[in-house]
Amino acid sequence: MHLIKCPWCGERAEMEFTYGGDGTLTRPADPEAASDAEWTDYVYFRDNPRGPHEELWQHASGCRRWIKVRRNTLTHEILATGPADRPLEGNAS
Amino acid sequence: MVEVLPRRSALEGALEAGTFGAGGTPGLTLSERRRLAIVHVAGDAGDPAFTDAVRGRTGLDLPIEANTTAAGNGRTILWLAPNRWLVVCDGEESAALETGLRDALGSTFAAVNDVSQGRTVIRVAGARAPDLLAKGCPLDLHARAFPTGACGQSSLAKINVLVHSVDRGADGGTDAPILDVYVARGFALSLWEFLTDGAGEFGYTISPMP
Repeated sequence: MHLIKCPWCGERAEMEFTYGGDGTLTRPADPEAASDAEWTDYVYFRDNPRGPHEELWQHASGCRRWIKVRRNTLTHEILATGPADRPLEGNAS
Repeated sequence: MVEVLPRRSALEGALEAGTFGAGGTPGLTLSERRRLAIVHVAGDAGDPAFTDAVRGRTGLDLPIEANTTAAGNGRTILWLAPNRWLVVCDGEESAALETGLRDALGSTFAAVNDVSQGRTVIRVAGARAPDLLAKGCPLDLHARAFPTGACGQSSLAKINVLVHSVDRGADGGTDAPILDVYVARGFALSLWEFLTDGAGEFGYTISPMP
């Protein structure tokens, strides 16, 4: 089975995890001042990269923690994982 | 006056003692651990005031390392997630355990919740116990990867469970390996049906409940 390394629980089966979307988004710093275009970009528009992509996943059946996963969208290879509250180690590409 | 209803097992009526499945010597035993006190504790593992308070009430050091447990004095503390634990106690009132922990923690930044009635604990024991769970669980249940005292939250028959490796028989346990499966009460019957169905090929005994 495909394994994803949870930063706390270790390598676990992919079925224990839930996909949580793009992990590189940043919410507009000043919500009141952000324009409709900026909000639309943040809420709806997503890149669809071919290759390494930084994503959020949740270890839903395990420790319930959100984690960051760098995954190759072409091969489904997991390149790096780490806690969600800090940048992933290593280069994005 | 508040009337406290007696605890009623989620497997009441489904759990029927006897020997079932394939003939010959049964490969495993299924039973339910009843009347356990189960308390969920959350707090900062790096705060000595928190860890000392829990040690003071339970006599056990909180397991800080992932997927490990601490056991003694009839109590077990299971690691669930960073800063989250389950304190399980046999032969103590859950309300007493909960209020005891809460009193010990005082104003420390922590949360204590009695979840005894929300969990069902099924004990799977015997040589084929890991084989039975492996039918629906992606955890590596081999004694090398899941030794005595290990625990892990995972999925069993697509139901979220917590598996506790109580005894792998390394020190000559008679009924080993013993694995405890913690499941949310609402899923208990469904899981029980999965386990009894899957255990048929090994032959299994269901222990009578007191």
